[in-house]
Amino acid sequence: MTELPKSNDLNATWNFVEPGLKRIIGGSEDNVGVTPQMYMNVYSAIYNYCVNKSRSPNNLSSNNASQSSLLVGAEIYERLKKYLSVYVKQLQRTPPESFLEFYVKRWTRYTVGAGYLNHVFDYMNRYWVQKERNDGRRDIFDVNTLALLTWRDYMFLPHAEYLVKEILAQIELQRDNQVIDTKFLSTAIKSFVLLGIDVQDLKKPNLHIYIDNFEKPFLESTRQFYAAESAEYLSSHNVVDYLRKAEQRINEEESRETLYLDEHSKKPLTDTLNDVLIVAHSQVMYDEFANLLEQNQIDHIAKMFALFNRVPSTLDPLAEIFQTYIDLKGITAIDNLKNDIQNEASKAEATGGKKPKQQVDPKLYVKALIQVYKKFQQIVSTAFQNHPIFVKALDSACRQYINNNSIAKPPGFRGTSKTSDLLAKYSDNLLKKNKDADATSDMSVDDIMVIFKFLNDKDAFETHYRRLLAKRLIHGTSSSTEAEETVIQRLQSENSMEYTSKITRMFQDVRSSHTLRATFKDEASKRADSKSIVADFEPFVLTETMWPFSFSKNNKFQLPADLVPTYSAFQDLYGQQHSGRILKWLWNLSRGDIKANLQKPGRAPFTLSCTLYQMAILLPYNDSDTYTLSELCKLTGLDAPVISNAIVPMVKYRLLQPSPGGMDALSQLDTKFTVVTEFKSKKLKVNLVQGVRSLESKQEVEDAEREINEDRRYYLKACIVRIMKARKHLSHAALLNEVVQQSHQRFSAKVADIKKCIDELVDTEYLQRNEDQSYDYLA
Amino acid sequence: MSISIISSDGEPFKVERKVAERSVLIKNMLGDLGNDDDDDDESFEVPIPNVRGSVLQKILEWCEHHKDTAFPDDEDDDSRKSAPVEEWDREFLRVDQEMLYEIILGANYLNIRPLLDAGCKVVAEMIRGKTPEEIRRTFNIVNDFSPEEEAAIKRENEWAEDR
Amino acid sequence: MTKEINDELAVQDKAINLYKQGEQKELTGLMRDAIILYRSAIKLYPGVEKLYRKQLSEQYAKEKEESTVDQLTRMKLSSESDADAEVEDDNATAVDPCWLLEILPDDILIEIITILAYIDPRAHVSFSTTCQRISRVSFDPIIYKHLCKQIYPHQVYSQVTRDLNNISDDQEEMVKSWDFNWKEMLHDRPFVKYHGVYISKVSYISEGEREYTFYAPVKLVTYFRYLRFYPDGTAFKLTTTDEPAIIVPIFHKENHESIKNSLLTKWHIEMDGQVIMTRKTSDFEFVEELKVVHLGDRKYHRLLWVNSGTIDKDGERSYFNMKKEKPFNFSGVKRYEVHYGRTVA
Repeated sequence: MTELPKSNDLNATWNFVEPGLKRIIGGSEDNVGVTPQMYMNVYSAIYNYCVNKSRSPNNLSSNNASQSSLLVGAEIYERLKKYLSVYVKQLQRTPPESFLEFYVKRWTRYTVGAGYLNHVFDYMNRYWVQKERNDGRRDIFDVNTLALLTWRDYMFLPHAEYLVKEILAQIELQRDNQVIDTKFLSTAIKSFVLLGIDVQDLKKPNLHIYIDNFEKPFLESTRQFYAAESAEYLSSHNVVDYLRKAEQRINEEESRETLYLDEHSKKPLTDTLNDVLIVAHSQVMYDEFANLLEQNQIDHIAKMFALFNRVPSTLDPLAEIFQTYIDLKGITAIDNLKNDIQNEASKAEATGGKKPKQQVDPKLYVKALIQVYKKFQQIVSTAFQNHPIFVKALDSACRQYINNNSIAKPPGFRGTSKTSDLLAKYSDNLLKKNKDADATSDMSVDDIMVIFKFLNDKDAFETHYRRLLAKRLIHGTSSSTEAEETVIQRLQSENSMEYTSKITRMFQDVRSSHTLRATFKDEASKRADSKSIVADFEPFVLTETMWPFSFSKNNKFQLPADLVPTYSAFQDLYGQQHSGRILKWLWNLSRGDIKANLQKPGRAPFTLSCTLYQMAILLPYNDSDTYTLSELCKLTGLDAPVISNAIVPMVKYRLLQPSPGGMDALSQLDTKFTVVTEFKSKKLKVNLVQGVRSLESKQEVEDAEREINEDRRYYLKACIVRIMKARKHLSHAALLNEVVQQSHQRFSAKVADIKKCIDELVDTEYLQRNEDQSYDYLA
Repeated sequence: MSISIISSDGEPFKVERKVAERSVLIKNMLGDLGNDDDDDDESFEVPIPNVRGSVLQKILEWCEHHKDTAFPDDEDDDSRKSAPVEEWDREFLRVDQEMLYEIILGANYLNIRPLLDAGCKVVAEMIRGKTPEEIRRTFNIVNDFSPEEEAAIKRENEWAEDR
Repeated sequence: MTKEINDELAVQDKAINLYKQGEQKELTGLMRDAIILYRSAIKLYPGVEKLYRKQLSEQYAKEKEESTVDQLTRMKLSSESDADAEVEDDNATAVDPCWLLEILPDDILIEIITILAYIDPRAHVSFSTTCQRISRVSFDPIIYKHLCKQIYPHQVYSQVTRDLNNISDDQEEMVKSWDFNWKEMLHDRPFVKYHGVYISKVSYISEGEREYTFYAPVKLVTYFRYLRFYPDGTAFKLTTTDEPAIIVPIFHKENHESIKNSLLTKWHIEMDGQVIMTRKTSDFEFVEELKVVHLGDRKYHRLLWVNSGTIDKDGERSYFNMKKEKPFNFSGVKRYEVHYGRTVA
């Protein structure tokens, strides 16, 4: 074993140790590795030196001895420090290796060597360095840190810029699809991280060197590179290709990030890329977006969305364009529909027919609306992945075109949007009994709900729907109760219980009427005149306010004698069950079947379905064959126009023969009507109801509109009173605001209407208007 | 893999790598220089120029006994200080003073923290509860204070008795 | 030229001599004289210290070369133990060697003393008086560090004090305010001691009834105040005429019920040494303010009265007359067991 140097001899110790250091740190010419011998020798020499001095003999005074041990420890440390700095300083690049190669190779060797050194000087680290740091000397470090600091000060900082330049050059090569040594880069970059030593807290990793010396220039050069590349690319390629290129570049950079950049750079890099590749060119892409929509290029839209989604703030303009486009499409679709209708009309007129009414087929209308919705809904879910901004854009656009289009609000029209009405008719068509199954095969409750959701004037829809429902219920034309109830339930869940309260009540009435029928049948059979009571009498007792029917007091209708017993019996029964209630009979809605024995003998009689009025007209023919119109008036108590309307289908079916003939004669008072005894019909059952010309429809529409407006006025007033009661005092603007908000669910209130209501309330002394345009609640 | 540890007076000791690595010095060295080739049957030789055979033998005996012991973290000063000496260690360190100190010194040199701690604790307990004169007798310490000096030192340091 | 060099050498020699003399004075405890001598030496030649040391180490090195202290050489030449350079002349005789000091370096001695200071403070002090070398290492700065880490984490501060002064349980942080000088922190930063009791003895003369004109009967009244602090922020106090020999052995807060008139209070300490004790009853809050100070070399051994009084329900303060009161002195009690609640790094 080599003899160790005398432990009190600094020079001898150092001379002994130095060759070992050389080998360890990598400065020796030969390629001999460090042997265990050498390792232990160096360790022991250092150990002996430190320990010896720590043993401190006693003939020196206390002050000096401790000072001398301080000095001594410092001397070895200083020599090591100097050695390292000399070593690092003299490192030189040997061409043809590049500076980067030189740096990485040397760095790798150096850090390994520093690790060994740290172990070999372990004793000094453990005791002397700790002691010094403990006493406040924060500029003394363990050997590994010392080595790193030396490298930082003499090799790194002087050459940092150059090194960074070379690194960036390498990265740029890679961006140009050249192959580079990524491990090299990774090591070089990692050295920046390792050199960021925080002298206050050695254990804390510190990225300041990495950030200042590398990350900043890297981000800058990345920005420049891509700004140039993207601009150039866009000038020679179209947007769709650009989308692809941008996506590709982004993915590339991100994998580069994980490969050799530090975690810290992830976000800044992403931000830079987003900025330069996406935001900078967003306008160009927005412009292309409309085209993509036009061409229905869902994949490309999805790509564009993916890009923009990286920078959420860029999505808003895109959504706006989307919304505008949808609205436009919706409006156009309806315009086209309207044109078609007009063309049909003109064509029909041209072929010589009468000018038909330009009725809009509800089915076509709803279909057109839904189609637009469905198309873009699909885009939202596939291309935009149901991102909330786009869902909202779709909703807003739909709300817009569904309520405001050339059919719903024709120019000059000032009523509520016709969509509510058309939708109600659509529902009616769906729910009515239909001979033609095909007609409803492409209709569904889902479609109704889709449009319903977007209706602004939901109260209008309810009114129309209720009107049509009432008829279905009364006349039994509903295709199935389940279907009706499904729709009601869905309306309820979409809106509120309150919304469908009237309708619910209507159903209840129908049900109780049904029960009542059974009861009546029972009771009737117990009566004396049971034989003259109509056996299958179906009463419908309707709660007056719930049903959209009006009772006209002026009706002087005379119930036919044959039916009077039934009438009385029912009045009695009902009076017994519900004393205090008054029944108002709606003769104009009642219907029934009459058997007509006009057949050749032996064959079954005809069954004529007719309205009550028609019955009243026909029953007298049991007594005589001919009556004049005026006679009929007297007998039935009905007005001539009403009778004329009712008679039309009878004439059409040649049940009654008018004389003189002709349509005009039908309304003349002295026209005679004779029953045709050889009445012929292919079918046994004849329906006379359908042909009754309805004066009502126009009337109905007006009524409905009026009802809606009245309801709204009541609602607004109630709303205003409620608000003022709670707030006691409110400014004009605030009150308007509140009212609009609260009524939004039902319909969009017009400011003028609200003002009118307020005025009325002021007049009726519910409110007091103050000088500053505010209001007080008057209890 | 086995390691051959050679004392300062040339005596070789063959031990398992795991045992030898209780010494952080040896562990570091093996990590730095050695090959991780477990199949390497050829014993790795580690010269220990500062510890003689008899002491090294004792130390390795301790390492062998504790080759699987999990010792608490180095950083936790308090728990290291307050944990009592394990019974086996106490028995192990029941040797004459010279050997005891050689072991401590060796443990310090080889960087075997738990052994160093145990040794120091044993010595501390030899001092515990004794008067200065008793301490001097136990350790053969020569009193190089004059009576006045001794009194002065006592006065100067007395405060440390109270906590 | 030579004359100048010679002159300089002469000056250096003179300075070194003065310095040496100063050293001698210091060794014998005559500090003032020592300082005067040192000052003159430095005045004469500013670099005298370094020079002296250099001289010494050269001298020492020479001496050492003949007889090395090297462990290695000693191992090799085990028979030559007589010649070892332990510069303790006594060792040359046939006295058994002091292996402790021969084999172990200061660093390890410090380790041992660290443990000793933790398990037996008295032995730590005893050990420190055994010889010069040991006295030096017994109070190495690292030892002060460990003492600080033993003492300060268990002191009780109010939250306000903590916030205002940025008090951390990490002493490495705290010592920065004293420039990493642990000894100074231990000296300047007040603390309260737990392994014992603070005792104050008050004696006064109380006059009796004046029956006769030519002598007035007097009575010597002596009473003791006992005060013991706990690391959980509670304190135990008692005022009684009973002597320490009776009280001290049983003075634990667990005996609160059985010791008549004993009281439990809350306490906390401030950075300037003020110790504030509070006790609430249904009508009043009793507040006592004291201050820990040094007593000679004994750090924070004495507790002075600042004031004592009450705060009533309306916040009105009133103070008691403390004229008669005397400061408390700490008395360590080996037998007391102290339980530190929190584990601190």
